Amino acid sequence: MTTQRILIVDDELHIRSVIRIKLEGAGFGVTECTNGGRALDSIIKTKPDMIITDHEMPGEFNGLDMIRKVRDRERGMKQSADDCTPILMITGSVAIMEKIEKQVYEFPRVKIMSKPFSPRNLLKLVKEELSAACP
Amino acid sequence: MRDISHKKRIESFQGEFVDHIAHEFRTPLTSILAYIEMLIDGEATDQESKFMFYNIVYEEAHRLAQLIDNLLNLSRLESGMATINCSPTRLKRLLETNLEVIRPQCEKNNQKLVVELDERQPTLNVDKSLFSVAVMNLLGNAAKYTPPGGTITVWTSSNEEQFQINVKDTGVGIEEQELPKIFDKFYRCDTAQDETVTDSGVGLATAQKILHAHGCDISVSSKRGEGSMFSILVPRSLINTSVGD
Repeated sequence: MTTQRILIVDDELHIRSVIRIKLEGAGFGVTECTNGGRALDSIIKTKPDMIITDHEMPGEFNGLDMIRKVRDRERGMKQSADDCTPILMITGSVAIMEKIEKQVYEFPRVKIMSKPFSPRNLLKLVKEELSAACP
Repeated sequence: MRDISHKKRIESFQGEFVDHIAHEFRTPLTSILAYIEMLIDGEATDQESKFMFYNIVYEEAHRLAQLIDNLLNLSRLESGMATINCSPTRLKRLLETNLEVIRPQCEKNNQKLVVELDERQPTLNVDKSLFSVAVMNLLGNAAKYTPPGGTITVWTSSNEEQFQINVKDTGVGIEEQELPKIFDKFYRCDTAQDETVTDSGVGLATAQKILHAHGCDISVSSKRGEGSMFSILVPRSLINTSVGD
């Protein structure tokens, strides 16, 4: 069975590490990026099965900008909303959570997890999302 | 009409500010809770992993405490509520105390800490506690952005107009266009994307506010890839000729 690959995008080393340890422990392959710009390059090269991203990151693209770019690219490739890469946005910002919840059409297949999060719950959500993507 | 619009703008700004603060608090809190959960779940399978997890919890709790201190100082200074209790303070002692705090971090990061302070350091009329926070924030910043093998140099200098406390590092440096923004609250440079750095973007803002409240200033020169030099510029009027504490 092919290892499912997950891309983690977060500028916080300790948060990337804890997610990586939890996911690798469950058998997933993990790639890490520290900002939205690098993540976009990585997505094109590695085609991850799922993306886990923070919102507030230094650099040109924050988490929401990156998600918009990913979805624009998928629409350009004529992928349907059901086929797009599942994304989990982890954020401590209530304003961002509300924005994503209100703009479901713009952000299909984007789940939100608020900080602080439980690695146990994160793993559960990742498994659910990936089993929904590959039933 | 104008009052209502002004009030709305203030409310909107306060909302964004609170949202930002909440985010800054949640980030270290997330690490603390997540690593504790991993320890409880037995995810740290050997002594080395356990030590690493405990160390992260300790560092992030410390970061949270420092963030609270910086935000409180910043808030008091911005609202004009801060009381600056100036008293004669021996600079050499103040610097040495702060250097002792940062030294273990430099050793851990494999950074060389060079201190060039002779015995003839002045006594300054400053709020020892707040001034110490400003110095510590500059030292902490240098340690944060200097890679292993790099050097942090601390020395003082003076001319006819002012006395300078200098902190120079061989770290990642700052792009020229970012220099005017680095003292803005919550601003994080693109260079802050170094994979090992955690920063909330309030340390330099707090240092600048504290120094301005004393009538001091802060200057920075930097080159991307070569390092940065921060200087606290102390006017001669703050130098006390009497014996300090």
